[in-house]
Amino acid sequence: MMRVLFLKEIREAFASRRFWVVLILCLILIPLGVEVSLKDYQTRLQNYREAVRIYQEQTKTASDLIYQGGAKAFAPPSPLSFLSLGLELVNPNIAESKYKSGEPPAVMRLINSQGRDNLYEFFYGPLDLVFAVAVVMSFLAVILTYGAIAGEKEQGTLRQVLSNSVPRAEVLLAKAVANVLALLIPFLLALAASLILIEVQGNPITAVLGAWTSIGLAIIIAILFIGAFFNLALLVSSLTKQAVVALVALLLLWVSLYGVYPRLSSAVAQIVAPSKSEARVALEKAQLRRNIQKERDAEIDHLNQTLPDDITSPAAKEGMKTQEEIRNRYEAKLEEGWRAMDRDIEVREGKRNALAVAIARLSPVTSFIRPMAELARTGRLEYEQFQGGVRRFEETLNRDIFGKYKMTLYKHAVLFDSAVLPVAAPVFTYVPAAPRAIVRDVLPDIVLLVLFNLVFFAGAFVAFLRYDVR
Amino acid sequence: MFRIICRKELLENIRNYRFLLALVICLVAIPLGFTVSQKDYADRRQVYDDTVRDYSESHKTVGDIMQQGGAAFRPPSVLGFLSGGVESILPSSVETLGYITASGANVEFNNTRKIDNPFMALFGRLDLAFIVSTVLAVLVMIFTFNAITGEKERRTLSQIMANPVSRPVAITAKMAAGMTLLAAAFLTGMLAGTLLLVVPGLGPFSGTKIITTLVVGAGVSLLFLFALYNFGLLVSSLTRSSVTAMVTLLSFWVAMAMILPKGSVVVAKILLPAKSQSVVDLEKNQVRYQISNELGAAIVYLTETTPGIKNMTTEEFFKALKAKNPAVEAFEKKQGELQDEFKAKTEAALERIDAEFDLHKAREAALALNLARISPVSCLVNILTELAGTGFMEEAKWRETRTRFKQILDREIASKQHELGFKDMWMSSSDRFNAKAPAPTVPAEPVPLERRLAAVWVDLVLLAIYGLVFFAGAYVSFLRYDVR
Repeated sequence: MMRVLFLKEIREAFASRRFWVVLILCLILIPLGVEVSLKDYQTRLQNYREAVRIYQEQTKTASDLIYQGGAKAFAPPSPLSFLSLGLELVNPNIAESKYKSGEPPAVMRLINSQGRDNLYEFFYGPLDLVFAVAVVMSFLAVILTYGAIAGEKEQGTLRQVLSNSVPRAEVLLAKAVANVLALLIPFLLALAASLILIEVQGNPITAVLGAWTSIGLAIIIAILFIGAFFNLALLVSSLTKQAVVALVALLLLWVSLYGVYPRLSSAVAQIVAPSKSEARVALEKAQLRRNIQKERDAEIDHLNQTLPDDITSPAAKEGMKTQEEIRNRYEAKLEEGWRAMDRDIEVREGKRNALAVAIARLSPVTSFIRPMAELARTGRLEYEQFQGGVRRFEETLNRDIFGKYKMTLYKHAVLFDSAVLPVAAPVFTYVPAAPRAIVRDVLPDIVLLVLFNLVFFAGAFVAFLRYDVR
Repeated sequence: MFRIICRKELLENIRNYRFLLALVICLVAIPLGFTVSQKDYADRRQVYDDTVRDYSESHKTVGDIMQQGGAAFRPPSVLGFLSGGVESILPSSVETLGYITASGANVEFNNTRKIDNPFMALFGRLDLAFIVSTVLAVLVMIFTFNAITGEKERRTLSQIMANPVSRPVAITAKMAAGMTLLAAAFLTGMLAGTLLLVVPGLGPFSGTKIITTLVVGAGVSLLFLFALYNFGLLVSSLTRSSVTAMVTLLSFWVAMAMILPKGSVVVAKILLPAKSQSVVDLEKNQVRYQISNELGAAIVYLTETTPGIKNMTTEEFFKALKAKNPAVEAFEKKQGELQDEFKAKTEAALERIDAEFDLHKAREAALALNLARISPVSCLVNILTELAGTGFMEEAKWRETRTRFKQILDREIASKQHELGFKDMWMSSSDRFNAKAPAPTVPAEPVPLERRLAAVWVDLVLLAIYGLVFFAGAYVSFLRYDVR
């Protein structure tokens, strides 16, 4: 009997026009999205390569590094951004030690200079797999399933089916399997077409460590996410008596889960565990810098007043030495102060982010979007990785270049110790996040998505057992 | 008869919970979105005010700017709740890099970027543009997908048509009733949201300007909903089954909301490629460095070819300078001319690079924007964003502010300085400017509403046209609809 039921559902699902509309929609949307994202990625890659090339041409020695706009470190764009553009456009893509008046020389500032390059991309939002699944596929799951039970009841066919000697569990199972296939087959076909498209284009993604693991996990998460919405729709359909009411309730859920909840969750985390904004930190850093500079300048002025005008005198030489010591002392103090601030911010942000992740995981939409960004290497992990790499680069720079390059102000003259200038400039190499760290980060979300599926299906099962088919 | 059908439609939509759904969504999403955005704005405004106060206290004179560098800050947009736009990727300030010397101030955007809230960036904002273009768009689909096909499926359409009622009246009544309910739900939500903003009476929200902008924003949103509603009717009157209508509507919405705008950007980038900002910055850097090297060489040449100067030691030179030695003074004057010449050369070269980049970017942007306008969704988002002051006008204005700040600093500080190089000594003197003079600032001038509207009139007209064209389409196809 199960086979008969299953065949009936399959026939119904596949013979209807809506299956073909879904198939065409998927086959257009997903490969097109992948293609557009790849093109976008290639533009960003070209920009990145061009910038690195020009920078390396300009900066061969330490002297270039000091006199020509400072040291730079570039983060490459992620070739997996077709999975999720994530934070790619807002995360910093460059770190630089450009000299700003009053700063210690080798504090590398993380910047994002691509705002103007990607203004319109940012404005219109991404066309990545996350969009295709979180918006379109979840919406399709709702539209194609809302009538599964309430609709059959309205048409009076449910009563006829159940008048046969067939357990309700089998009816529901057959329905679920057939409908989920009708949803997943177009999706998987479109996905396969996209992957073939990537292969044909010379496969730029193999450059990434563990690319196929990421893609595989992304597909699993996407399927689980679609399944969660499907089961939710089945649950609502078996709780309502009218198809239109089921649709209205489902769309209310869809709007809350996709439109409202994720957008509020980040705000709630910020309100409960507030962290300082970038601008606030900049302000506090500037204040600290000013205070320290004031102390330093007072001390140097005081020193200079006791010194002779003649630069060549021994007293002047002694004075210069003292001055350098004063400068170094205050520079170290400033750097230490800033670092303490950064550490404080990191702690606060860590708390805020952990809370945001926890809140986000309560909804299937957010436990889908966040791990997708991590898998695509456009999320928070990758940003932290770049930040860590830049810190190490900064240490190298300070040790090898800036620590050895000394500047002394003597009244109106500037004196340099330039022994370090011909040394080759250190080059930053980007180390991406380890695949294992990413997998560890997304594992809880996968478990949660499985749970969402089970809970919603169990709910639908129970509700259907008690369903009044008359 | 129009009234009867209208009433029937109104009652039907109320009875099957659609109106309730619309009302609940509008009453929840709009006030929540407004409140969250307002909180975000208040936080950023606080930081902005503190920063500006701190800056003006510590930068009272020209001397302070010389020592600590100058900056100008971008105020956050009060109306960010209409549309977040590109505000979060715009730099929050412009600042001088390095010291301001005779060769001019180096003013750059502060692109220091650490996302304030990565999850906000990942999950998006709940602004009016999102609510209308996504949440309410979905509502419109629910209202319209079975407006005609559903009645056909339930066989009520043929019964209605059996009465003495003309088809134009029937479809107009359907449209009027549905739009009325939708507009009622939307305006209730807007009213609730606005009250939440206005009642606490907190500074920026009490102004009439903001209320005017809000009213304009609500009007534009209604115009968009009108266009989309008619589009839904059109699709419903072109299809035979409700589910097909829904799936078709969804497909078109995806095309309009995402594929078209995003695709237009990609097409524009392929057809009219422009360099990236970092490449342009590096190129400018190179030009600066090259020309300053050339200047160095020219000064060396001048030193070596000026009789009487060539053999002086640094110490002798500066002693002679103090003693106003005529040869040294002539040398100083000639070197000044050289410096001016090279400064003009640098500026011209940099301006050329910038102008070329701006031109390319402007072409690319114009193509992207115009292609995207094929979709009513991008028209709506564009209008709301410009109204909110978080869009492309703001970005352009912000770039203009940087240029103006540089001009002011150059005029007030750089042009009053004077440099003199001799062998490995480089001396700068600032005897011509008054370090105690008040620090120059660049005032922030908000763009008036009229100018914002003038920038988006095309989108407004297009939205109206879309509404009418879709209605005409629905009208014609309903005339030919087989009601059996």
